[in-house]
Amino acid sequence: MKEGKTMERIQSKEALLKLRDTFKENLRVREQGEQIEKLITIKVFMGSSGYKSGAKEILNHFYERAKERKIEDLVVLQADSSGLIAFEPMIGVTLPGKKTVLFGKVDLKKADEIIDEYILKGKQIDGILSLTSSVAPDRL
Amino acid sequence: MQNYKMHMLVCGGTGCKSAEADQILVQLKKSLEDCDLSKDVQVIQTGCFGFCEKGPIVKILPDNTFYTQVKPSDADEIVKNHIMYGRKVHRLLYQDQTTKEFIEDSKHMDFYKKQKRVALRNCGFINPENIEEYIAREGYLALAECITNKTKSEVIKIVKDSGLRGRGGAGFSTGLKWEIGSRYDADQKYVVCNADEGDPGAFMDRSILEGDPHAILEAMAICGYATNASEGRVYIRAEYPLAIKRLEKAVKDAKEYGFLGKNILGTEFSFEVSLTFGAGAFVCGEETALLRSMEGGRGEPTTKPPFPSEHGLFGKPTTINNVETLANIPVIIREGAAWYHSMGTEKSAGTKVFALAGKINNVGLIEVPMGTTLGEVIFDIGGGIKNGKKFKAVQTGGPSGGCLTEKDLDTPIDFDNLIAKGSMMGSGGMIVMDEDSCMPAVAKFYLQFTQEESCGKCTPCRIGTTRLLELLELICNGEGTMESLEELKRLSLVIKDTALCGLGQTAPNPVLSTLNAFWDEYVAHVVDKKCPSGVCTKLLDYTIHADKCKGCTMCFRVCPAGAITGKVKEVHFIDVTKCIKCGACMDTCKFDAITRG
Repeated sequence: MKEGKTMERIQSKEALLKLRDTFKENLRVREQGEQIEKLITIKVFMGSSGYKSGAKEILNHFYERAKERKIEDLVVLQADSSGLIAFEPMIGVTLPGKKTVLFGKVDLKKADEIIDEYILKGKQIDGILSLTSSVAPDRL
Repeated sequence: MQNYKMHMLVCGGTGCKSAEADQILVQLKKSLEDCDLSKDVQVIQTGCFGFCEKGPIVKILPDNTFYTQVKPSDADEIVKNHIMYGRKVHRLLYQDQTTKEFIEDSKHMDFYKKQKRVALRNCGFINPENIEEYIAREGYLALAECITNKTKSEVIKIVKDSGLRGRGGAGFSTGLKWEIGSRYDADQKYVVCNADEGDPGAFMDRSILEGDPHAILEAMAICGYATNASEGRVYIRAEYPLAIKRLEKAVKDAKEYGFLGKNILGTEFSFEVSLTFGAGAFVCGEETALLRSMEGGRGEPTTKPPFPSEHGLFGKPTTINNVETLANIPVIIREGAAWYHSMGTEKSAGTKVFALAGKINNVGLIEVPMGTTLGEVIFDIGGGIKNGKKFKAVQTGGPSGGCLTEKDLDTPIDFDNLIAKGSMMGSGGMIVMDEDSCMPAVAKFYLQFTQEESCGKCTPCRIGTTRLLELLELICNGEGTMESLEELKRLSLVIKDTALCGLGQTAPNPVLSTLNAFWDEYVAHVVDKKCPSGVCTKLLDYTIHADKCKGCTMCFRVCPAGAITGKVKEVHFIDVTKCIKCGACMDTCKFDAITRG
């Protein structure tokens, strides 16, 4: 509660439920962490080279798109460099219960395509790297 | 609306706070500010994570990174590496003791894998000083549901059907207690929360109050509704300043939002909560002594019946519940009795919080379903015994409980099993002892505690515990005989049968259970005049073996009492009359020439 602001007393269960939904937004990040294995994760590789090639913009772009489209079961994470510097900015997408899939040289357009086509519609799209095995498993 | 991409949770329990957790919070915020990330990352102080052994803890979400033993000076590295470049700070990650692997995700830690957190659901997850976060976690919905949609008897039925038993020690059915409490009519009725946690090594209630204070207030209001009481009191010991501070803030916020006070949520139901501070007497955890103390009198127990449900605070009907019991109530109401009953064992439903302490690797706070075995708790979750030593015994139930040994490791923990094994659940303290612990000395330690804490009202407890302690001192000093052991047993049984309240009735338990399980060790003390574990100093002798001593003078130099004589390259000697038996010589000797016996 903001300092100095007096709260109006809650008068009904409905009002409490409404309040809960507003506050729940603030805890979204934590609750996602709690059940991360059930969610879709996008991991943006963010080592120095990834950073230089624009991984930060891609990261922010994913955050914004996820919010815009209201995809609640999508978590955007950042990770250390994958080692595959030639393909950066690179991301790894993990659908629940599936193996991680890598996308290299991701730009904003590609990022949208990944969300719209691969994640939301489940279509196979161009740009999937077949180099998964050359990345250390703990980085994925 | 907030728009944070990551959350950093910093443990704000008493343990971590005493290891500069506040400073970590400040430094993290500062580093984020410096890196222009304070809009992206939120830093929150939470309640206890439970992994106190490796505190202070910083957890980063959503990726569940669990940093241990963080220092304020590490804040910059965490922000610059983890938050900016996604590089986890490896040296701060938890390292698995057996595989030596660094574990990035806390979900993969053995410590958390077997736990089920119900009473601790919000501890280490929400900011306890922020009511909004509690509401976001379905807070006060159970209260709303009760007072708007359920009759008093419906609420009582849910609690009764859930099989919840009081977590303070005795394990009485909570629903039944509420039902009895609701039967009596009076102009004023009370709900009391017993937060007088007095067992040495126990910190379950403190952590719940520090980590999730609103849950207790909500549960007290629900209990008030069910038993027709309009006033709630929390009896909390003054030694818990942080818990008091957070509880007071919670009461204030709850009143502002209208979850406490007059006409809650626009209904007829009114409920107020206030705090009473205890002065730390152990006996005040006993409910009748607690009530006398709250009234301003001496903390002395009275005979039961009449029970507090009929004749309690200021003579009015009072329902007393322990902190942990209450912490379960809101979830039970929300998720239903059947859900709660599905956890745990047939007669002991649900989960139980334990405070692991003593010679165990992962000292901390855990919550497991009832029926989990002692072995699982000590070895899987607790990580086994410190320094690779051998497990000897575990004291459950604090000074009122008993020792359980290796043969009891497969016992599923619940109220009845522990009693059958000669111990008890108590409030949930677990003190683990290794091969270096001397059992008569352990019994002496507990007796010292209960003897000092005895209120003095009844003779068996006042004089009986003093005599027991004298006998134990005799044994530990090597002055005891076999008759002392017989007398110890006889007196223990007399006290158990005749003392007025729970304190006295259970005070001989550590003696009886150690006598039972470690009879040989007692005999060694009185017959051979030896302490096999090397604890009782009066029974120890240090000797230097001439064949091994190289005359390096190391022991001569470390001896604080000047009891060792000898010259360079000559065999040294210990003067037993001067020796204070500190063992410093044995620890320094590089040639294993000094032995204890």
